[in-house]
Amino acid sequence: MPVVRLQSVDGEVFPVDVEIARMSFAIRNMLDDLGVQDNDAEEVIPLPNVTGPILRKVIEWCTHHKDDPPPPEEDDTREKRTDDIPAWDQEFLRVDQAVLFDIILAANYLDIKGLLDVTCKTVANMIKGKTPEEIRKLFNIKNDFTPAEEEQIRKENEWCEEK
Amino acid sequence: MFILGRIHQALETLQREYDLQCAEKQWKDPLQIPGVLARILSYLPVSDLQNCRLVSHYWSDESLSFLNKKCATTLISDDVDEDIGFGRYSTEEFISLFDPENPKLPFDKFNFGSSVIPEFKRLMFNDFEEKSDELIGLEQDLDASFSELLRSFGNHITELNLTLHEPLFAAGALG
Repeated sequence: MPVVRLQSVDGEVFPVDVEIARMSFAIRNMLDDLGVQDNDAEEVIPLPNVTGPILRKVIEWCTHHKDDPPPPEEDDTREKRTDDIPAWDQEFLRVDQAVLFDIILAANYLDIKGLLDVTCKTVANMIKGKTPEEIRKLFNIKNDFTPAEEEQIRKENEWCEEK
Repeated sequence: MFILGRIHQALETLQREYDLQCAEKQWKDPLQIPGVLARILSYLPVSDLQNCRLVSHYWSDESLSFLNKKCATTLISDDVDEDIGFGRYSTEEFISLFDPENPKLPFDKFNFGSSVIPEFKRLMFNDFEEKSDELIGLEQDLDASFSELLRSFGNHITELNLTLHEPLFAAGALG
């Protein structure tokens, strides 16, 4: 199996099967655009936005999911579920919020849709059932509404009912 | 070595795009990255989206498009005898909401349903043997308001259901 070597921002080098590295569309497009052949793949690819510990997690996730079928097309009309996170992923994502956010950043940067989906679902589950104040506290967000603006949104919310 | 140079070149481009995406250098917070918060919100039901609207301006803007897809606005009257109005909102409030000069609610941001109203002729209350002056006045007011509403926001409205929760008001049908 041909291998590419991915280098984290802190200089750690990870040899990764090409097929696993290609689960990242950023890396896949780059390899395709450049026409890199298997025998060129010994080159080191530096990833300046991903640290070693996070890159290790990302590679672990990709390795576990390497035989997954391709994710279905986006479909806005379908009700999206968050209770279907596989047990392995739940355990994998049982990490500090800071680490979870770093994995999201890496999944977004490397364009790994499956990993981005499952991490975003995890964050959605953290938001569910929380009040606006609790959500702000959870993510350290500043309330930039005036009382009048807040009142206006509460009023709009009253009008807005589930179909 | 040639390939390596091109890889570095491609990575620089990727980095530039990434920096551009995170222009304010808040990239340590994925919720600030365009698309990531939206992806998270896409998994939430209406009640949570309503709470998210109250978090901050940015969260409100991001939540709204998902609320629009999942919500309908229903106008309900539960108080017909005392005040021929529409539920929690008086007739006056109700009409003022539809005033395009002074919109109280962003109606273009609400989704009313699923099938296009091809042509609006006139709003009428059905199922009355005799209409009081008050009722006729209300009918005319609403007709004018709805006409205005459809002129202003018609492109956004796909279906409008008006249900009054009293047996004598069977339905105010449009179309």
